[in-house]
Amino acid sequence: MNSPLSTPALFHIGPVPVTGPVVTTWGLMAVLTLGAVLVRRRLTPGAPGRLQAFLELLLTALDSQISETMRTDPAPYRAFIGTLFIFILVANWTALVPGLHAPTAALATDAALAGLVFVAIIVFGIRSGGPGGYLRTFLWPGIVMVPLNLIGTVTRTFSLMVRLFGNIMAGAFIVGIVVSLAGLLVPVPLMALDMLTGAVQAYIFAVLAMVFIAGALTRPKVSPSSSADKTGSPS
Amino acid sequence: MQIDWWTIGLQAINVSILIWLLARFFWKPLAAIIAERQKNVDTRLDALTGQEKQVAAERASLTEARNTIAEEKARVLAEAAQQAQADRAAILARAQQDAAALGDASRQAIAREEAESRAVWRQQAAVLAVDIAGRLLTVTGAPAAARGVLFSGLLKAVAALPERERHTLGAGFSIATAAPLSDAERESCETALVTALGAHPAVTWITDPALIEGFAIRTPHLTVGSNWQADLDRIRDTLSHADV
Repeated sequence: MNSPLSTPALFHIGPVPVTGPVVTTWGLMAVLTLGAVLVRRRLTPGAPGRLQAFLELLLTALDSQISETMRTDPAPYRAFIGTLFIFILVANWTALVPGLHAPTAALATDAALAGLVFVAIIVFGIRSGGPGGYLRTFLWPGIVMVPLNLIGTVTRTFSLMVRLFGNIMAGAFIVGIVVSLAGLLVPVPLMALDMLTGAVQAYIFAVLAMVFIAGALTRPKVSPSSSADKTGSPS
Repeated sequence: MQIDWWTIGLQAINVSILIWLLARFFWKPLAAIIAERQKNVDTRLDALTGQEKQVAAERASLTEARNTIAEEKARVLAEAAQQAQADRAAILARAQQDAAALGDASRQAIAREEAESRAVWRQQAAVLAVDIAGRLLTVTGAPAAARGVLFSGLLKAVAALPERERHTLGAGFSIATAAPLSDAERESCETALVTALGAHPAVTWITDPALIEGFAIRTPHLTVGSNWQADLDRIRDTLSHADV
């Protein structure tokens, strides 16, 4: 068994080494894109079929989750958060296909995903309140917290990467060990557990991305009247 | 450990492209479909709300119309009752007037019929009384003194005549008696008449039992009598026209 931290190149495109996770990701991209195109053709504003109803339920649940977590309109963040969740979920479950390895079990893929979240935090933060508004989010709750907030921005990105990588890689590693030791059917419960772990990790990654992005958004100032309304004080 | 920057970069690009692809081919169309369906539902809901408001307005209009009809009905009934009361009073008053007039007319008719009956009975009674008296006088005969009294009455009647008629009697006349007179009596009578008239008329004596007793001077144009029959006729006329 190879080291989980190493990703050997399958082939090179010029100077660029193409590893297994990259190829698997390409495959996932093709499948997801093709599925999206096929689903798009069957979308109807009338009575939806089962698949469309499921997908609309997924979108509604995603919007609801974004609204509850970020306290803002979900539309600008729907594609980023939703795609991250679907990609990570499908990528995590890729390990269940014989002969394939989960791309998220490779540290480089998790680092790329965490890096995208890091960039998204900055982009959405600046789009929300401008560069100044985004930078002022580091002052909360006080100027003393600026160093910690700066460090936290990096460390939480790092924690995203490590959490996803550790859980998925561990699951795949354990299943690999059990398969090599016990046989074909013995690791099935562990694989089911891997499915649950993969879904939970995809959900956690998406929710944390929402929380981190929401933390970078500039909040409108709350007026005393609305504050009084929220606290339920008598008017 | 060696960081594979190429793979990190490629995966970042891959996921970015996937985000863009799914945003274009999945999330936006799906959200648009949901928004369109929500819009359709809102449109139908608005239409239903509009229809509900219209129904409510029509219901309120109908309620108002029904109240108006009820008020109109009550007003018409009150007016009809008032009119009926007035008509009843008018009809009653007119009926009372008609009844009073009818009563008066009936009473007058009864009084008139009663008066007519009384007159008829009185007349019949007078006729009967005079007839009885005449028969009695005829049967019993007149006393001797009665003839002289009757002749004196005749002379007074002649004297009371106007001059022109008395002059007419002077030309001659007939004198009727109930029973034939003797010559002496005739002569005595003629003498008295000549004296009363102041002339010597030609006198023709006739007998007329219908006179019962007394005398009657007759010309073609004049009759002067003093007899019981004439008296009975006067009595009968008096009784017939006398008020009780």
